[in-house]
Amino acid sequence: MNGLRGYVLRRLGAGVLLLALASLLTFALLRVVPGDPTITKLGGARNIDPAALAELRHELGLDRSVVAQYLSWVGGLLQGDLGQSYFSQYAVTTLIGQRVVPTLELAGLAFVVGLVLAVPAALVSATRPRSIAARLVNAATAALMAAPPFLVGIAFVVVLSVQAGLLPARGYVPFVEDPLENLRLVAMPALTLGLAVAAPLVVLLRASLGETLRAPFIRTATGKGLQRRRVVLGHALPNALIPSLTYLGVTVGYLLGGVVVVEYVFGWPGLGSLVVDAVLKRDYAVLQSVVLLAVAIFVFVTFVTDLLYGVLDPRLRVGEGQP
Amino acid sequence: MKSSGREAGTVVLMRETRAAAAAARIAGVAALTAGCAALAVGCGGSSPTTDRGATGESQPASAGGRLVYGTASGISQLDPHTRSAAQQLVVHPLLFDGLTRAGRNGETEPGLAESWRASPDQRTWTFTLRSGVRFHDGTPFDSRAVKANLERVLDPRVPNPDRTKIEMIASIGTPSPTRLVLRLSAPNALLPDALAASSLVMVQPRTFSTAAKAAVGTGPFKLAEMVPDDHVTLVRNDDYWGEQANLDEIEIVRSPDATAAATAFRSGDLDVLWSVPPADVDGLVAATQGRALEPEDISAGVYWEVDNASPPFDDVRARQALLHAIDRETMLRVAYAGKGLVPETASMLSPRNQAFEASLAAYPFDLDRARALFAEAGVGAGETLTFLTPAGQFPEWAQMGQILQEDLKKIGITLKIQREEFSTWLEAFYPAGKRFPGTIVANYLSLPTTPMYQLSFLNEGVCECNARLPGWRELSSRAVATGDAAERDGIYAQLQEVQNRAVPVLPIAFTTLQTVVQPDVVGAWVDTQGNVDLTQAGFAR
Amino acid sequence: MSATVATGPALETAAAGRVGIVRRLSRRPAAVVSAVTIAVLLLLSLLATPIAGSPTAIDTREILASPSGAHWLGTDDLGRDVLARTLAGGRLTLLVAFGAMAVSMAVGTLWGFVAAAAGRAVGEGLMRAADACLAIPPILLALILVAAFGASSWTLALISGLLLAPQTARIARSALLTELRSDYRLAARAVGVSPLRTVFGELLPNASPALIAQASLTVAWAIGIEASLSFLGLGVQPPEASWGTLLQEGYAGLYRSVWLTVVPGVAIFVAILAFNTFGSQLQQALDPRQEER
Repeated sequence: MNGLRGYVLRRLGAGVLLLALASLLTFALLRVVPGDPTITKLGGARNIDPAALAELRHELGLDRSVVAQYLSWVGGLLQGDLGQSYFSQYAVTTLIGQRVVPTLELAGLAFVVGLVLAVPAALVSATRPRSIAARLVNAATAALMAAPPFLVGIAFVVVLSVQAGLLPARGYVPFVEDPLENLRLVAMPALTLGLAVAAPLVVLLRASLGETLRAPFIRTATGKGLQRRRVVLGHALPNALIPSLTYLGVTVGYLLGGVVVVEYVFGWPGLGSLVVDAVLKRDYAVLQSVVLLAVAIFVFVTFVTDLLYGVLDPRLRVGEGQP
Repeated sequence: MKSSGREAGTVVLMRETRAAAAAARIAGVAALTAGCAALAVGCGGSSPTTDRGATGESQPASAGGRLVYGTASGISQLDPHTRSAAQQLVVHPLLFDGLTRAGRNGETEPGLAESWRASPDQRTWTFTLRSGVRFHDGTPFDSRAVKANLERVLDPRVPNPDRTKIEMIASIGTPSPTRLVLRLSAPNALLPDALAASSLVMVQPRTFSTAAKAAVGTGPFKLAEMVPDDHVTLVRNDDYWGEQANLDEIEIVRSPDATAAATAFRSGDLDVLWSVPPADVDGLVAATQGRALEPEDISAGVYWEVDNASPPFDDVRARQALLHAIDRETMLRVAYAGKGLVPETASMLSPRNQAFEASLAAYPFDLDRARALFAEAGVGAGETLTFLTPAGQFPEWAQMGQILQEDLKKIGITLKIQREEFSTWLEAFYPAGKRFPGTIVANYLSLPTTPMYQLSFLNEGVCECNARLPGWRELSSRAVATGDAAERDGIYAQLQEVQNRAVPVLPIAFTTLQTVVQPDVVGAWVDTQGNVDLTQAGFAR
Repeated sequence: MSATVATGPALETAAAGRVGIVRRLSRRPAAVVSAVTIAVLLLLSLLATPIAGSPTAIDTREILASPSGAHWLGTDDLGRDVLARTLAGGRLTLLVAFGAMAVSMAVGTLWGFVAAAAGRAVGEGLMRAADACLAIPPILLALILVAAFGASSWTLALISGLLLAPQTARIARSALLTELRSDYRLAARAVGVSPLRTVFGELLPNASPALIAQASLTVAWAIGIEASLSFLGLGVQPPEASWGTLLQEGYAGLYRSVWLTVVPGVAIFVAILAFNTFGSQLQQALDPRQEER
């Protein structure tokens, strides 16, 4: 088990290093961005005394050296204190706390929607490549790959809200307050994001299933007279899913990116909207921490999937990181 | 005014937008509005579906209910003393009271002060405060609280947008809990008007440091919940000192995308929608049988600013030439669906304002005069000017820029339209004192109706245009010190003369933000700057 | 074969070495259709103004006009011709996307080649760096970068190009690794051909079909990024218009005219579909296992 432990430690070390690099990069990037948060905060109010600007800079800690600002951010980070928003005075941890639930709900549902759509679609497409259903799946996949998530969102709003009046175009209600309304509201954004995730998943699964179906053990299973259906579902699918696992990290990255635009379209109060606001207002305190959070999620998911992959596929356990 | 006849019958206007899409709006739009004013003239009567000022009030509201108010820009903080964003203004009258307040016509009414009186020299003001008023946390409101509030906003380190209106306060006396004596370093006949400013309202002094996120005032509603830039929930204050509110709850929600917001309003998910793109107003009203709210008067609008201290706009002829090159009538029609008033002169005041000076020379759209004046100022064919507007928000501004671009092309001048992301746009010319040669900045101002508070935008150090107008300071102080209203109007006329000759800024359209409400919403009204007052709002019985 | 000719000199160079690929591609209907679509899009964009007139001419008497003989796709809210604006918008969008592709290919190929040619440690390091770049959602980085450097067509091309470079680096590395292990590389070294010449004379041309496929996909992604940024309000400036800004403007006025949203939306969709399809068809044609089917 030494090999596994060393592997875990190495990957953990790499993850931490990656986070440190990302924090440095984000921080540095934000300081070279033109646009001064204090000026944005004053928002063009007239009659502002230079003393007010200076005071504000001091309050926000922007009068200290960049190195000092970075160190105090990282220092706070290690103690679980991310500082406060330049604009709302709320602690960044509070702001993230307020918005993490809607984002998790949206991303989680979208992921489920993506899987539920992608797995059967990929099965059809891979097992009966010449059927009409497969051709439909392929066309739909190609179409979805070509449509940026916001375009799909717009199409939904136009058709389902504007034309048909079936679903509300925007808004959020916590599930605990009104489960039904919550589901009505999350339907369109989750479907939008789910479709965006489903398309690349179908492509991946289709390729990986196709490969597995040609593998000798499947031929063996078929040769033994097992039903085609059982072969596919019982043998091919699980084996095809394993390599797809490695793409889980990529899929999560895709979700995180898609969430930004989809939340914007549907007025969904999640981390994506928080980050867009923070960019535009130059709320560095919020922005740097949320970007780091996104990277951390990505690193964590990649780490876990690598481990899972190692456990599920012993050949890889020796620590030959995949290319 | 040639244009206003045609537009008559439409709504009065307001502007601004939300529109478009952009995330940017997020940013804070506000800015634009931060302090200013403009007026607008309305053109004509109200159409049947509009709700001008007090009308629409006749219908009684039933008690209770929850009203959802939609806005494109989120509210990121609640401290009224440091407010910078226009979208924040809707919560001020709900959570807070000032010593005085502005009524629907902009007239000054009693608030937490029942009455006031000035010494003959306008240097000592005595206010009698209401007794028995309590803050939302149960602590009493008294003259000591007022003193703490005034001291806070008078501190130059606090970025209060209205401080200059009251900075002549030299001492604050509190002879009793209900008596407040203000001694001024310079005479000021407008002090009660100044104290009606929405950023001079009273906050429980012990909560100053947390006012941004946990505002404690004396207003008819209390803060229940806030997620910055997403929503603010307010509940009725049952211990309010004044007339009780009808609604149980008001939720202010942000919908960054204009189209999603319009869809939500159409489906009834929103009861009130603020800062509607002007071109969408009629469609929304028709689809819901609702109403557009119109202000009694307008003191807001689109202004373009140029740097009066650097070439070529340090030459008055270049500024006059530019004004002649602007087809303000077409701009209002195309960019604002005609919802507003076309300024004919360079005056800050709209023709509707009681102090507007009717004898001012007009600046009609005239490309030949523009070409000649530009030539005199050394701006010949082949020159390039820049038009600076924020990216992603205010698409109307970019449209107006494109109209100017096409017109300037006809006289050989190239106009480069530069859209900058909000923060960058703001930083290019703000605060006052920045140099931006050859650049025309699109901006929006909303100011109180008091003429002085519109004209004082041109005071040195306030306007980003960096103008130094002859005799301006002396005339302004005289206006402020004059207790006699008619005499003051005479000085306003002189100030407008100076301004109209010098063209320090270019008024493009008098217009406010548009608001639409569902048919069952009663008691909501908009002030002259286009801000919605929901204190007495409710649902029809 | 006409389709391949239209895709330009890059493919021809590749084709010189790999006639087989071209032939295989031309047997795939999807590849032919997408190549023809790309050719038509490029041609229309190049000839935008001669075909449809000025995209910026304002006619305030003809606001939001319906499609007619004078304006085939109607006019927008400033009375400008929608067809002219869509074609001109396509020119800018494709310019940005091809610029991004060029940046991504240049940076990414170099990155991937160095990672492949360098030792194991350096190569792994470079690939981990690529992973790290992929860790931050591109739209997020793009937002920050555009806010930082402004939204002109050049900065947009550069930013999208850099964002897409790590993916190219991965493809380039694996393509080159395959080549490096092949026999002719050993042979070349044996007869003393200079490494540089090997790279440009042999490796690059041999890896190029894979890179062209990647380039086509990169163009598609860049169009998507440009459109998303524009939708968030950070696209190119007026009166210049890209499909993204046209879509954003149109969507803001959805209730006035659905048309102004549909036209650029369809244009974006068709373009991404064409570049995506062409890229993946090429990839499949390169993969003998897929080809069997």
